[in-house]
Amino acid sequence: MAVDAPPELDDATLVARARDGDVRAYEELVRRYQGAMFRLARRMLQRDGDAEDVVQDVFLTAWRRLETLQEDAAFVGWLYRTTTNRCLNVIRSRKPMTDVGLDSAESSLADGHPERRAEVSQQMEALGRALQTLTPEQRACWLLREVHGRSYEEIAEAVDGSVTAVRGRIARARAQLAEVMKPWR
Amino acid sequence: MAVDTDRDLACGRALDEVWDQLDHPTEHGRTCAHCTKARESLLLLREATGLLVEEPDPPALDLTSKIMAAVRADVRRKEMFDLPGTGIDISEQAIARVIRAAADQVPGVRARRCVVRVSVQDDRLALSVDLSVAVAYESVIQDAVDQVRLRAIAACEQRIGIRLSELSVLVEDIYGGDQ
Amino acid sequence: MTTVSAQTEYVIEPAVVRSVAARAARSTPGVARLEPGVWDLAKSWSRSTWQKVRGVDSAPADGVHAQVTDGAAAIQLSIATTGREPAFAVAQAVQRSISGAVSAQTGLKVTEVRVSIIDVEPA
Repeated sequence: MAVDAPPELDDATLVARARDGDVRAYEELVRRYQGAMFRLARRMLQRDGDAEDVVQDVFLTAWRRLETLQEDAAFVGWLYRTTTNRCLNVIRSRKPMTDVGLDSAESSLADGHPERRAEVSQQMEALGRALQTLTPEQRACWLLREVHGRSYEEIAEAVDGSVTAVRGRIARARAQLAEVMKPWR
Repeated sequence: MAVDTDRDLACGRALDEVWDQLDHPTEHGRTCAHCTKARESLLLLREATGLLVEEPDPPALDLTSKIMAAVRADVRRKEMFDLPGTGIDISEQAIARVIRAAADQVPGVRARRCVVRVSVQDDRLALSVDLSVAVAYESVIQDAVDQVRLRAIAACEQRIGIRLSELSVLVEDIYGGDQ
Repeated sequence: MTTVSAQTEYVIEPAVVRSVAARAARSTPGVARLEPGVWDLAKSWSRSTWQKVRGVDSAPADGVHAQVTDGAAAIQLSIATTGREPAFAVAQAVQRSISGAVSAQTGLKVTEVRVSIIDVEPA
């Protein structure tokens, strides 16, 4: 389906149009950010199916709440915050017994990338595995900062904590991850 | 801005310091065995993190179209204008889109909100529209608004088939000035 | 050999009307596509719901509804137009071509064709 919203339009214009009910404008926003939200969610949740559900839910909720979004430019921050929240909720609602095993998690993440070079895949796997040893909040903080480049203030809002607490969590996460990266050379 | 962690190094340095000086280690950092070891791990971590940052979306996943299928279904239930006596109704969004597209064709104009009303005047259907726009920095607003009006009237005629009887344009923003 | 004078009764299923109407609408100039109507959007968007939504979206007679009562048919459908011709005129043409096609092919009297214009494509 053709998109008539020119891709160079800024987020704020697209959000204003989408709020107005312009589906194409919203589609452009979805196209821009669904990938990032999905990557965040799958690293948080380790299951593609759950990540997919979260992302769909986030974008549908966003569509329905556009009216209440205060600032048009705040859209991306809202997406990150909501995606993080949903992921943390999903993790909290998981029963310990049904929690995913590392093996199945890895095979799920490796799906579709058979050609990936062994070394790269080894490093990614090590990091992916290490991420799962963090607390969900640490994982969220670290991913938002190091992979998605969000500001400390934004992350603090997303995980419902102070900037100091966020810095602490990221530092601890980094230390723990670095520990796990050791064996790989 | 070092944060206390329980994993500080045996030489007394915080891991955070090593991280902050990753590319420019201090004299101590270069010579201290603990710091060097920590640095190697952190470099590996940074490299692996870079892979995560560049990780592509899974190829088979088509989340956008799934999301949009639901959004479109949602929209359909919103405002529909009944065109009296015709057995036809038309979505407010469809009209708004035509008008926005027309306004967008004017150089230096970006259409934003568009509110549409349908009425019957002298037994004929008529549209009245409130449109808000952003205009490019340095554009002549009066000319731009005139152009928007002409194109909106033509678009309603040609693409919707209902007369545009009233159009009020609100210039609410300027874009591009700071770029 | 006797003349067959017995009345032959037959019943037209709404599905037949839907499919005749859908074809007539699609071949009307200016129609970009039929728009599926999803009437029962669930409140929760679990994956199964999404699959249902997708399933509805890919149904062949997308968005066409028909009621058949006492030899008469009432039809509703939603369309998107191409934007190259006035949507209002296209909708009227759709009404005419559906009426014509349904009564010619099914013998039913068409009492109403209700057309919803959901979208007008960029020109």
